[in-house]
Amino acid sequence: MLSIPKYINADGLIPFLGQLATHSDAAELLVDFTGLQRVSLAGLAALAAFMARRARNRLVTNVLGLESCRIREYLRRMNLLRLCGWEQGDESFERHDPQGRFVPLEPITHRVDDLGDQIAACIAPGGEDYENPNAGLYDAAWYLVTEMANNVQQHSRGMGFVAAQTTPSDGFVRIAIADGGCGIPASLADAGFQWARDLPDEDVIEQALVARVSSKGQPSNEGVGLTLSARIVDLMGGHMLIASGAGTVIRSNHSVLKKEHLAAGNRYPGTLVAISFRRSEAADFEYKLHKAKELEIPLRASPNSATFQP
Amino acid sequence: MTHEIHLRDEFGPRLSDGSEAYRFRVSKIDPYLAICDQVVLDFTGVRSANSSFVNALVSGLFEQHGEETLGKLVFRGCLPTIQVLVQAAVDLGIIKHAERVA
Repeated sequence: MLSIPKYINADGLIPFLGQLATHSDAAELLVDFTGLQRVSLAGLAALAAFMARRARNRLVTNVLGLESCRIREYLRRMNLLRLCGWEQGDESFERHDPQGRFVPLEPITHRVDDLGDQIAACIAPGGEDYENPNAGLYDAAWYLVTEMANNVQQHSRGMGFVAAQTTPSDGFVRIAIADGGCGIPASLADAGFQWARDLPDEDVIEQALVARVSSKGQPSNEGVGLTLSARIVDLMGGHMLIASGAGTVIRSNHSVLKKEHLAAGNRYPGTLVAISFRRSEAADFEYKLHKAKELEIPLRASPNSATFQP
Repeated sequence: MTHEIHLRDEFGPRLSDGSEAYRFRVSKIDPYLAICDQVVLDFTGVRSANSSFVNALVSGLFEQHGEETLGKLVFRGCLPTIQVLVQAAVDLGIIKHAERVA
């Protein structure tokens, strides 16, 4: 039985991923929600991806304690119950207006650019207009969501989920993306990188954040998308957690790195990326994108500019 | 002869799919670079792009043909954020070309 812990946030997240890892391939699993009182966006996304992976692999999952769970309504509003197949038919509850506040769990099944727009427009209302004060925040959210969702679609071979939330004042933006695919270390190993087989998973994840290291041929993005995303989050003073396989990498406070290895040979079945940053830090996204590019892509000897016309 | 490609007409206002961009480059840009004096990639009306798309569209052109492509390729109507991504893709392609030649 998988007993969902009381709190899945902050320090409780990584132990929870370890719990999921322990039960990922159980032929039958009973999941007990009775004690759950608080769950972060990252925890929700990880749980949805875990359940989707089990369903895809035709593993039997039953649930217990949802009726008495103290945050049942929150889990409903965030689409967890519907996406996991625990609630069907017409919605019998009233949804809050999510505009400017949150985006419930969305499966990454439709076009990534539309998904990015849906999330960015919710987090940064009006930002679709480049002259709007929210345009920087819109651009930051769109860039991060589309790059991460591309990775889910192209490399993870598993259904993924994304969710986001923010507060209208100068609060934090939180974005979480999770999938039940093969994970970053296995993906790179399959692409022929011997070092991805030799290194511990947390070191492989760290290497995947270095531009050009994780390129897998055409279409060529040279691993730049993930690298620039991580660097942009750094430049916004934000926080980024990447968990995949047995490894977890946490970047915060301008690239200070913390790495962890799941205990007892456990491997989280997929990849989870959780990002948070302060809204105001995204206002000058263009500058931060430029700075990230300078830091991650080496200058060439003859820096002739491309020709740009208005 | 100048060949103009209007990306908004081809892909809409948001560009994010690197696989689409790669296929487009191979079939709709590469052939024209060989036969035209100038190829214009017109980003007018494009609101957003990410590096997956821009690198797949642009970087390979420079990786294949080198810095001389700078004289043939013009980027029009880029918003500032998109211009950063385009310049990054150009730099990356030229670096890779130099590595291949070395």
